Amino acid sequence: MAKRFNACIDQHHAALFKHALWLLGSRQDAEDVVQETYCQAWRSFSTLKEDDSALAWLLTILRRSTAREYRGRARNNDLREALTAGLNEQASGIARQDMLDVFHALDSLNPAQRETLLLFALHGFSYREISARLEVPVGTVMSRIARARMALRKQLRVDDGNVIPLER
Amino acid sequence: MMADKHLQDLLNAPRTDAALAQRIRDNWRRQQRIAAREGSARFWLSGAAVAAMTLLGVLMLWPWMHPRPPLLVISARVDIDKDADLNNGLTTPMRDWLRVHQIGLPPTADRVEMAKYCNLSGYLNAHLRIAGARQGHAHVFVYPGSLPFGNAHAGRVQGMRWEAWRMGNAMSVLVLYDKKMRRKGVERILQAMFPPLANQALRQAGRAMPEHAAVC
Repeated sequence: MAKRFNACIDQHHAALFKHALWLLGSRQDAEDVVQETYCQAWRSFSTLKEDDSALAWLLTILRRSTAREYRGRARNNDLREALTAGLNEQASGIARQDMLDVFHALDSLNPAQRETLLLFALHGFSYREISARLEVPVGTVMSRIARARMALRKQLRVDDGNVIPLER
Repeated sequence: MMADKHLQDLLNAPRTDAALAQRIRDNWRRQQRIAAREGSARFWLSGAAVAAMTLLGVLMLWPWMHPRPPLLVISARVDIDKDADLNNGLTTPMRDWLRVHQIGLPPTADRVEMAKYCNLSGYLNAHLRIAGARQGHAHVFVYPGSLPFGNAHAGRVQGMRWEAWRMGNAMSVLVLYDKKMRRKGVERILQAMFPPLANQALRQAGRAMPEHAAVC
């Protein structure tokens, strides 16, 4: 079982860490919460039936850990460093400022909207999958994403309606 | 313009360098090891606690924890009390009965104070109360057949020790003796009365099953 678990976290470590980083805005906090997630996940790993759903399962655990440990804590301690450490702007085509803008845009969302958006845009889950994971109706997922979309557009001063697709 | 693909690229942009991932995994594995050690220690500590509590319980309940003697033994014990005041000695009919069943007499030093027939749970037994050569009393119950003692073959009942033997289906012997009576005295009596039983069974601390006799 340990081998299967190690393979599981090797596969999903990056996604988990990025998720935590965008949620918390601090590498140290993200590191802590991912580590805590691994510990929690190991204890209940036998309940994970299908490896295909491992990421969603880990994200659920991470969400609980985040909510418990970091509720109300200031998100961005060393934001620029946290988000853009080691970033090669030219090679990646990603501008540091864009990342900071996205972070501030995410920051303007409430936690539920932020998390829903990350599940949708970062991890590519469908509405239905997010609904199942967050245990909210599909309509709630859709409305959260719509609001997040509007907020992002406003924050990023984007006039195009294609910030994120309306349906998936 | 920020398309969803670009947003996704931005969200994926933060680096998760291998060193960091490895450090997290190392920390996690260290936690696992510590948890395993603590879990193991906790397991053994809890095991020790359970063992100690069990031992304490056993000690407290010891007086009531002896397996209950067979009903036959209880009946014999009741019979002993019932006939405590009877002192008829070794009667002639009993001598004859013992001779017919090829049972010897006790040593002369061990006086037969009382001899009678008694019914133990439907089995008609010969009951001899024999005063020990030095002190104490032994009660020998003999049944010319197989008595149902179950798996029990020795124990205590109301201040007396009891032991039982069965010599095939031919004869069953139940002996109850009080605290003053030494076991060696009992062995000497049984040696005289039941030579095959004594020679083989009693030589082995009285508990072992003789080759030709099943211990009850």
